[in-house]
Amino acid sequence: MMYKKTIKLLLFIIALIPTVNLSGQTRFARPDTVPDYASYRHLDECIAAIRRMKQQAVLADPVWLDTLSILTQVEKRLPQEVVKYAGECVSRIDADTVPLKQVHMYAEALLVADRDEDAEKLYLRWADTIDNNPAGEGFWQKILTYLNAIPVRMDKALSVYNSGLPKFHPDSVSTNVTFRSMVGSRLLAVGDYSLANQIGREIIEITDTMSDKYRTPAYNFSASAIIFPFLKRLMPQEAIDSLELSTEAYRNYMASIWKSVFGHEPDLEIGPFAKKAPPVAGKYWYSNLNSTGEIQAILPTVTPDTPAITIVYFAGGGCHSHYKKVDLGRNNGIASCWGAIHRIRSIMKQYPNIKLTVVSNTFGSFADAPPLNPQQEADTLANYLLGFHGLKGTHVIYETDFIRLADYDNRKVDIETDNQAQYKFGPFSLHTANEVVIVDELGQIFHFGPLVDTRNNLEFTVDSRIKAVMSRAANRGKN
Amino acid sequence: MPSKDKKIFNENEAKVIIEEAVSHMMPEGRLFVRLANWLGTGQSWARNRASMSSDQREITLFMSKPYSHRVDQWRDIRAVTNQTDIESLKGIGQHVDFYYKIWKEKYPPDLIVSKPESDEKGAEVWANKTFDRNVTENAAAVEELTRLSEAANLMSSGYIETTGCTALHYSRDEWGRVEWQWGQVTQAQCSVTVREARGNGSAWTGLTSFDVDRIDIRSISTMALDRCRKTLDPVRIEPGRYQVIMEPQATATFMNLFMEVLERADPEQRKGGPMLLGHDKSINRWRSKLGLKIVDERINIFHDPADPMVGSHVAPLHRRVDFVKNGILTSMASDYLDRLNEISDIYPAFPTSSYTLQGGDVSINDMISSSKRALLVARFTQPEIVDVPSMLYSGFTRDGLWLIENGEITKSVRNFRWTESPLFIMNNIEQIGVEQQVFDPVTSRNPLGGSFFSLSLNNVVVPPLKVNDFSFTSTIDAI
Repeated sequence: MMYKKTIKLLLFIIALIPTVNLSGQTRFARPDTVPDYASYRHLDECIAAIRRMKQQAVLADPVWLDTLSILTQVEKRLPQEVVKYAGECVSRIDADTVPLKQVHMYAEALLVADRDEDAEKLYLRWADTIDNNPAGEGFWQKILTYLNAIPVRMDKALSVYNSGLPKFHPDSVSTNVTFRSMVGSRLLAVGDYSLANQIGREIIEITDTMSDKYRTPAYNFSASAIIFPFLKRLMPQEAIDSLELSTEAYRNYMASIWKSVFGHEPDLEIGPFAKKAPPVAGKYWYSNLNSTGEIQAILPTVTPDTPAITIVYFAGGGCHSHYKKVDLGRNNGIASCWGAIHRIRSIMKQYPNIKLTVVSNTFGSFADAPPLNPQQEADTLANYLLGFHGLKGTHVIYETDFIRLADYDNRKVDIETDNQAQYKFGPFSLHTANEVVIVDELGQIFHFGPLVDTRNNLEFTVDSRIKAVMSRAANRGKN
Repeated sequence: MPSKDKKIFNENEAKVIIEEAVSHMMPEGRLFVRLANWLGTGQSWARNRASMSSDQREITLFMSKPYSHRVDQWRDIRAVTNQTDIESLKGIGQHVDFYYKIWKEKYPPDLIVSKPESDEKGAEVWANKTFDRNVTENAAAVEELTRLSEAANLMSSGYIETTGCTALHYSRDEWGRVEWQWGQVTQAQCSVTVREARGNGSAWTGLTSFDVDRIDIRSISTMALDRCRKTLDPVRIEPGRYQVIMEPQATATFMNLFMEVLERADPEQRKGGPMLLGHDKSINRWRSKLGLKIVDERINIFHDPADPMVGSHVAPLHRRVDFVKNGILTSMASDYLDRLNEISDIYPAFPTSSYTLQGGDVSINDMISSSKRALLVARFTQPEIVDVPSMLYSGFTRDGLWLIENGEITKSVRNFRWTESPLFIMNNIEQIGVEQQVFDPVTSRNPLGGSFFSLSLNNVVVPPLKVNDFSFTSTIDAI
């Protein structure tokens, strides 16, 4: 009896095998690109299909959208079949009754289907029912929807912008800057330089209201990414071509254009380009650039120094001591420290001729270890960054001085280090960790900023700047 | 040491079992093994009838092998068993090693720094009499109580629990260094509720201690009966501000609320908490009330691990902490890393659930006889927050509220809703009685078997207080 049961079970399993294989093959099929209305249970799925089609249509176009003239870009139309499919898909949307929870997504779909009036009706309904949140997120989202539409609904975006900005709230400064940055970039893409510039100026004003705690170089880069292209439009093309970025002449020329446009000296740091890089200070010096690759304490030396191209990497004090306290976000505490180390390592691997100087300062403790004296902490840091993380270069560690708050509180308040004081250029300062300075072969600052690359600031990415400094050095060599 | 009559692992027996388990495993990597073992009695009754009487025991062999300690995540392979035969020990070790090998490949090694340990030892939280307690002894006390309450037409219910727990902790670091840690603890508690059959009166008494000899079950029972009779036929009096004599259990309710606030010490998470003054921009830190006088200067609150009533000898990072000294806030709870990074101190001040409020020398009888018109409160229940910055709470009185007139208890009073703040209470103290341990439910029968090898008991030692102008806001019908 038992025997028969086992045989039956085996046969059943054998019969199952091909089915399992087949279903395994179809599990990871590409998402559909042609809407299949019958299979969509929710409107969201249908709209997602429109987005995929829209993206495919843009990618499939033999001419890249951003290579076209501004006017052509703005008036560029989607293929008729995408509009048709979108029309069928959004036929279920009644602008008078559709729930407002995902208003921007519905409006986007309606715009693809050329139902502009319904999109506007939807926004009007939405405006009546919600209070704009303090950051004005909805306001900016609305502008972005119009700017991202194909063709671009420029007049509608402008009318929203002119309808008045929502009130600012100090707690939402970051969101304000982020949205302005997105809208500004899009305006540059669609050719409204004047409005883009206005938005860039707004970013500067907002950044000025921030306390030191929240103001980061990233905000200045946001403004730079919008305003500088605007100014460049005003410069004769020959002048731009003849001047190299990151030279004093370029900086002076940009400043003069700024003055002529805005009527005052630049209130945004154009960059500490071409300034002599101050030598970094520190009490403890280590290096693993010897033949054995071992970490050794070395005598203080001058770095960055000519004629090598040097990356000075400010690892930050205490960056590695908080790892239990923060979430694993890309831009958060230790996560950014880890990301930055990985980034530096990959850059050094890619450009082996560049010298690396890692700059840290003592913090009083390291990870879970008991309180360390400065010498112990310096040893640990050097072993951690040069040894454990495998960075190849010189490691300079500054002994941070601090004061203590009054009795019973007793917390430490660190005093600014000499490195932080010296590498401070206008709004750019080293209060945050993970920033780099690229120093050219003449010992001049070529690039200064966070190690994080962002797509909006292509001009300022570390990678592109390293390529530029190397190419300039090569050209100088030829001359 | 555990008695020989009852079977519980002693240190040597536990060591043999752990060594056997470890001998079947790979010698690679960090390893934690804990053999925790508890044995106890449980007795419960309701409506004057015994409902449960039992001996209980449990063995837990917990094993953990971390394969990465990257960023803020402790990743490990864990397994638990309650069997200690050789086959089971072999099986659990092989299970952990099998998955350890797989996951070790996926995660890069990381720097692991161990927490320091202190040589300070706390009190011995072990009483042989608690461990030797058997159900027969408890049953006699329960029988007497139920007989008496039945004769008096009252309903009694409650429970008695005693537990003895031992644990041996084995830890091996990545360099093969082994450490053993032995812990043992006893717990006893008794809770008795007596109500009039028609619900016309109610009383409760209870006590917690590591030593069952400190809990006189017979006197607790008779006290509950006696009190219930005294609460019969309560009269309704006007709400308002009264002088109040709070029995220790009532004091503990308010003190727990106060201590909870000290736990929430992260200013970034709790902007504007009752113990915070505001953000100081000049030092970029939150200022707190540390060092300021916040309550009556007779108030001293501390945690002393050397006191067996609140302490523990298996919490190596605990030491005596004074939270309030002569009315001045001297310490706030903080975790290990906060403490390490901000103060360079390896001792975290976090045991706020286990503390002593230092008492005076006035007995409750003296408090009563010296009162012209006051209320005697047995318990407060269901406190809910009304206002965070002022720590204003609202809740009910329960299980005994009596009016005192001209130095004598004259009548039982209907329960009140109260609205009051611990800060107000501790600033309006008239008299302080002798401190004593109060009832606090045991959270785990196996307090040494948790994730971390530290004992966390909610032991509270507080005195009765006589307080002026306590605010009762309305009467309630519940008895």
